[in-house]
Amino acid sequence: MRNRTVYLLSAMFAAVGLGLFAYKVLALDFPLTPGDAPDNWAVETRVTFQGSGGPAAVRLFIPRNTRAYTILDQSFVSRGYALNTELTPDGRMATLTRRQAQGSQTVYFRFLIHRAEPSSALPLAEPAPVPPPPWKDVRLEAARVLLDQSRDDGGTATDIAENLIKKLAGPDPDDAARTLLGNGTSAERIATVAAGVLRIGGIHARSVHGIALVEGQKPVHTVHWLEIAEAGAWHRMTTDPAAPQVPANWFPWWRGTTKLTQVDGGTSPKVRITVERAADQTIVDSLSQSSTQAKNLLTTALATLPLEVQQVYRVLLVVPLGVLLLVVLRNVIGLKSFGTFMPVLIALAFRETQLLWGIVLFTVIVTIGLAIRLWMENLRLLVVPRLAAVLIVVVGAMAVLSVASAQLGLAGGLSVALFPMVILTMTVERMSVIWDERGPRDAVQQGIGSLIVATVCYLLMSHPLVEHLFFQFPELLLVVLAAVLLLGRYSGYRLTELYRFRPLAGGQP
Amino acid sequence: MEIVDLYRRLRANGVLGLNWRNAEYQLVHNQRRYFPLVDDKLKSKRLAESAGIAVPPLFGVIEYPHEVRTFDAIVRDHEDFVVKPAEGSGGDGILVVVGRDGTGFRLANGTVMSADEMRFHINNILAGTFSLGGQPDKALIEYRIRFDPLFKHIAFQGVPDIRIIVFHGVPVMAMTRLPTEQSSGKANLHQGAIGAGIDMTTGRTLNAVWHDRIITTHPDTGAPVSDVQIPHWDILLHHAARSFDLTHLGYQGIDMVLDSERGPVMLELNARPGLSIQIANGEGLGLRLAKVEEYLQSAPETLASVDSRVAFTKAHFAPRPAV
Repeated sequence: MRNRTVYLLSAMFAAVGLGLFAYKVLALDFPLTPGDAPDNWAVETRVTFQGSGGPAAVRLFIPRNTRAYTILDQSFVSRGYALNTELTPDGRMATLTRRQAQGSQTVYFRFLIHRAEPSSALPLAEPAPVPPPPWKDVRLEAARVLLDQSRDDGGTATDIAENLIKKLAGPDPDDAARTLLGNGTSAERIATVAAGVLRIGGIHARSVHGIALVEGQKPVHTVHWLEIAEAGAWHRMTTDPAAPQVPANWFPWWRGTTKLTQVDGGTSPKVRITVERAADQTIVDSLSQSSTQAKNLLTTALATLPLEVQQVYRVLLVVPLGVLLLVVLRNVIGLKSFGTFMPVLIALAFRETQLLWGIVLFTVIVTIGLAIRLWMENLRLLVVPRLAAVLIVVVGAMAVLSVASAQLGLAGGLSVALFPMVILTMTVERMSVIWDERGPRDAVQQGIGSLIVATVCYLLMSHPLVEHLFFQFPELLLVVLAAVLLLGRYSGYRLTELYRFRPLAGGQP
Repeated sequence: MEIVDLYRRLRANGVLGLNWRNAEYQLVHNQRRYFPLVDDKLKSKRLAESAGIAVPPLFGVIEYPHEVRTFDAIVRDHEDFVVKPAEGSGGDGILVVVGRDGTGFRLANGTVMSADEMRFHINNILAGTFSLGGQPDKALIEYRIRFDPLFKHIAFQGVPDIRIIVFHGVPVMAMTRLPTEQSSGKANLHQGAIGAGIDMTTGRTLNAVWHDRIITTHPDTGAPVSDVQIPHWDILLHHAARSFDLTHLGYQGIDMVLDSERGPVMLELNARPGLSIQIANGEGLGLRLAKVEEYLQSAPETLASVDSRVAFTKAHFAPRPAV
């Protein structure tokens, strides 16, 4: 009876989970592997500032469709703000205004980019030329000097621009270049100055700003390049003379000398951009057609979350699989480890530190903590203050390790801060009690056991395919639940028990 | 496949694994609400006393840190005693004091503990260092067992105990655990104590197992450990059979010792008794449990009284002939 209910529940969960999974794969063409993901990107810009109590306005540029990129589903998340858009010479600009902005303010701007086959034809130059910059005196003179030098061999507009970039971005800029650049030699500064100099010389040029569509950028930096009109078309050029070709995955967002966002009526504005490869074609399609279709709510639920939260769920959704593995290792294999879910949490920390570093850091911190904890036994401290002392030692050991590895130039050691310190503390405490009561052998054995379990969990949970599957198909959680329920009624031997009870295997089977 | 074959043989011999024990016996026959009766040694002690089962007399209980200073008064009139956590497991946190050394205490393993260290240990017990879930605990101070002279040659330093697995009041399997030098006086097989199975019908020890090896003599004293008659075997069986009426736990273990003055004394009850007893007896629990289940279904009246259950044990649970 009991078992039948469990089997029934399991079968139900597994059927629903697998059914949804099959439907999404077969009918909706969800990609099964991460490599199949189409070239779609989700971009999110978050602007935060402190409102001063009065009216506030946030202005930011909205990207436009280009030959290579299609913008889908732009949206603002900004409670209490009114939205206006206008066309400026530098691009389309959105203005969000609010009559009273008090305290911390946050505005989100999200859009999806679909990247088409790179087209070979260059875009047409726009007819309306941008006016030259209002430079005067020394700067105007410096611009003219640079122009004359770049024009030496009287080439085309692109040649001139190339020469100019060489002068501005070269290793040893002359006085004229320095006058215009000031202290800045960033790509943005060089692109802006170059565009200005070229326009003074009557060449139609502009600086372009955007982002590189690459996964795993933290934080996302903007990229900058130059566009020069020649023979009715725009030519693109980076500010790096060694690699003038603009990469195909540089997405143009806005142009000109203005910043991406401006905030009026607020203090300490901060902008953070997040770029993620967007889920898949179906999601993009459904969002671009109609984002209110109920039918797709099920399939796109996670994709509607802010990107930041999505990244959290990419990690969270694989945790159940790690837990399932833990159940198997403990109840079917018979491995012993500290704490029920401790190895899974350590495995999560390994994601940030990488495996080898994670194992080294875990071992070092636990060893230090254990040594001090065992010595502390002499102090006769009460339990709670003793736990607190161990926690402080653990945090201290983490800080020392980070500083030491920074001094030695080992980047891996810096990630130590991501270790869950409470878990480490409890590990040290449990280990020391076992050390005292059962001897060092048991304590070290269980410590190593925990580490092995954590490593196996990490290897499974960090696999790109696993992450992709669980994020794309959260219904697989039901399948995991079904498996856990079944294991909950598994009454067979654990692998280690076969060894333990071997002497009892006599007689005829 | 060798593993599959091993698996089948173990199953056929009725050897219980942890998953099997938990899924089919502990979780099915033991209701959670009765667990506190066995998890708290103070409660099980009082229950046993009320049912006429002898227990080590209680000298005192320390429940709150401020009561630790009453410890001196509790032990003033006792040369020797035992300090144990009420909710400890696996023998952790138990101190056996055999005598005094100035203001300090001489322990069973020969070391001396200062009064200061003793107070620290009691504080640790109260804070839950040794309790199951780490929750606050009580410290019991009780009579130290003076074990039956019979055991002098087959136990090193510590107190040998007798564990009987009881299924719905029927004693199904038993063993005695003999401390060794290696187990530092503890009766815990995992730490190197000897486990010897017991013939349920006669109360004589069967083969003994030490570190998964079969032995016939005690490694420290050289005395034979097989075929030793356990005194008061009938009383032990009756205590075990009666323990079910106290706790209502279908599947439990009862740990008893033989005191030279008081005879069989119950130390504690256990709702999750370990499975090493099978190795000590060279036999699985599963077939015996199935036998009891069979009678529970078909003829429950034969298992109604303590006497009938003891009779059932003697009738059905002779050791399986060695193979």
